[in-house]
Amino acid sequence: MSDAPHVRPIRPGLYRVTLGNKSYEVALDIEPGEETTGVAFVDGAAVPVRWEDPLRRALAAAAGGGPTARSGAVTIAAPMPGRIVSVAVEAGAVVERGQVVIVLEAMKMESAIAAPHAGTVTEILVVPGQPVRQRQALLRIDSGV
Amino acid sequence: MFRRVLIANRGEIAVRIIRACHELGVEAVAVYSEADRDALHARLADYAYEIGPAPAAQSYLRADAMLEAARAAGAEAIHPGYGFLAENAGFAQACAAAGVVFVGPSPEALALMGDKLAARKLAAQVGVLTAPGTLEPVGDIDALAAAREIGFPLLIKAAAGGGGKGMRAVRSEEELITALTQARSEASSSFGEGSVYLERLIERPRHIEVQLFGDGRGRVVHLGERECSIQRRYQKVVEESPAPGLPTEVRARLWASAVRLAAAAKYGGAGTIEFLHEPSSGECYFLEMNARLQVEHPVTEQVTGVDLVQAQLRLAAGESLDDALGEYTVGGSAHAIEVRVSAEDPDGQWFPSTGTIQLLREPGGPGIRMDSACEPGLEVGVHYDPLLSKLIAWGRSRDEAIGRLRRALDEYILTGVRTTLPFHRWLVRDEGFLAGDFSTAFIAEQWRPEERAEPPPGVRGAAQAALMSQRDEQRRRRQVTPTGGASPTSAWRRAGRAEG
Repeated sequence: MSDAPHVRPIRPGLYRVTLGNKSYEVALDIEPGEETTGVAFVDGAAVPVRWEDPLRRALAAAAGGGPTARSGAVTIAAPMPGRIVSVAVEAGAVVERGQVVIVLEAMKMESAIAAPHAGTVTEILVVPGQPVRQRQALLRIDSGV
Repeated sequence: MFRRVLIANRGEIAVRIIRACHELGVEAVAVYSEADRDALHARLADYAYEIGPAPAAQSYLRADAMLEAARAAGAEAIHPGYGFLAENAGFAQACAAAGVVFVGPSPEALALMGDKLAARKLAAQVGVLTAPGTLEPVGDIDALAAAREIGFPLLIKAAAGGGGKGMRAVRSEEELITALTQARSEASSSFGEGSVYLERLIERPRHIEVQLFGDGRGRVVHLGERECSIQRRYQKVVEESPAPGLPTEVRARLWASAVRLAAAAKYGGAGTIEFLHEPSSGECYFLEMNARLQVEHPVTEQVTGVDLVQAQLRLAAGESLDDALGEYTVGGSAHAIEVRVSAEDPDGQWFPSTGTIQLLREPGGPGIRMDSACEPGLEVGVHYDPLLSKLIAWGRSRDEAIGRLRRALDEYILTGVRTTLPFHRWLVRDEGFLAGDFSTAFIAEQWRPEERAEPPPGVRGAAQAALMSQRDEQRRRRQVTPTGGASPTSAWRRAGRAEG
């Protein structure tokens, strides 16, 4: 077990990790919660990290895959807080991958939000002029897969 | 010199100007919005005045609040920084009427350069080349005719614009009307004025600008050029001085054109003239004049030796141009590069990111300058520009500057919000960038975050080990305090509790 990493917590989120005598500095930048996703900065290099509670994973597997099993449905969420400028599609519309579905204004810039894959718009959850929070659900698309 | 100066700004530039004041023995007066009560600039200043709620329109854009604070504080001058009121001719006029010195050009020069079309006309008069386009604002109907004459692709630009706001590239007639509507809407929400004009789109140009300093009576000197081609949606991301690999003849032409134009405008103080350089033809087209201190002014300071903010204050206080600038070097081999660290996610679509800064370690050491107002605990919100800090590296050559920049970027730690640091770390290792081979299309053409190389196993192992350690720590704490799960308490406070 000479290769087992040794972790020394320095401050919350900051660690010194040694593998033998090789030394790394790791800064963790993660969303708090049961399921952890985020970024670890290792001597500056960004490494995406993901950690799922083993118990929850086991329960989800027992329940037949859980909510993520509907792989064809995707919810588009606001990438940042702002205000909806326009909604370019209607419920029931068929959209292409990359097609602009919503225009959001934040920090005085208008940003177009595109469909991540082709599919049918099943639900529109916002109206033009509406302020939205970061990660608020805006629209659902089902690829029908 | 003034005894007391008010800084009508916030963030890193307010801190930068406070430093210049203190170096000159001048007292600094800060203003701050409700959102900035804990901000660094309000603490570093000698006096601080709250001027209104968080939205800029109710605080940092309020000319009356600035003048009221200046009067209450007994400030003799106001430095506007960049953005907000910096290029507002009405504000400069109001300062003059209130007997306060506006640290910047005259209201007339501001009005002239703020009107992009008037500036284009002046450039044409003094023989400075401009990109073909309209010299008047366009409506929907004449736009089509004008567009056909200029040819596609073309650019829609806001007459009152700057910083890429209200700007749209149009590649065909079909896109024109939609793009015009979008540009007008963005222009009126950003500048309160929606008129736009058309200009030929120069494909894959280099953005090069000349730093100027004028005495307001027709004498203008230049402090060399800056290369600002690394941009995203017309927002500069990286700037350097001098421009790498620029032919000597082109450089001399740029310097001379810029001085001629600013002298014709009787420009006073620090200003910048932007050009688009088309390497294929060797042409340089006048783009616009920024009648203010630029975000990227530090690269010029590091290679010339001039402290531009001190020079602005000296000139405004009545010193001559030569005394204000002091001795300086232009055209030497020294090189400086600045990267803008913004709260934007370069792996996504560069969307602004919000949050609270957790860990922060800003780099230092030889050849490194940090212009920043960041501190752990700082809330990065939606109300202001996402710029967090500027990291500037310099050396005797471009290679030396880049070596220092690369090292400093690897030392830089900032967590709690997504930042552009991963992009910068990639950039300083990219062969095209290292060779100085780039255009304003560089980011769009070269930045492929999804194709970034997998980190080596040791790095991944270290990341995973730290993550596991943190999870174990959290689980242990949860067992001790069963009600504490998913607590919104910050990591800092949790640490305090664990240690206390």
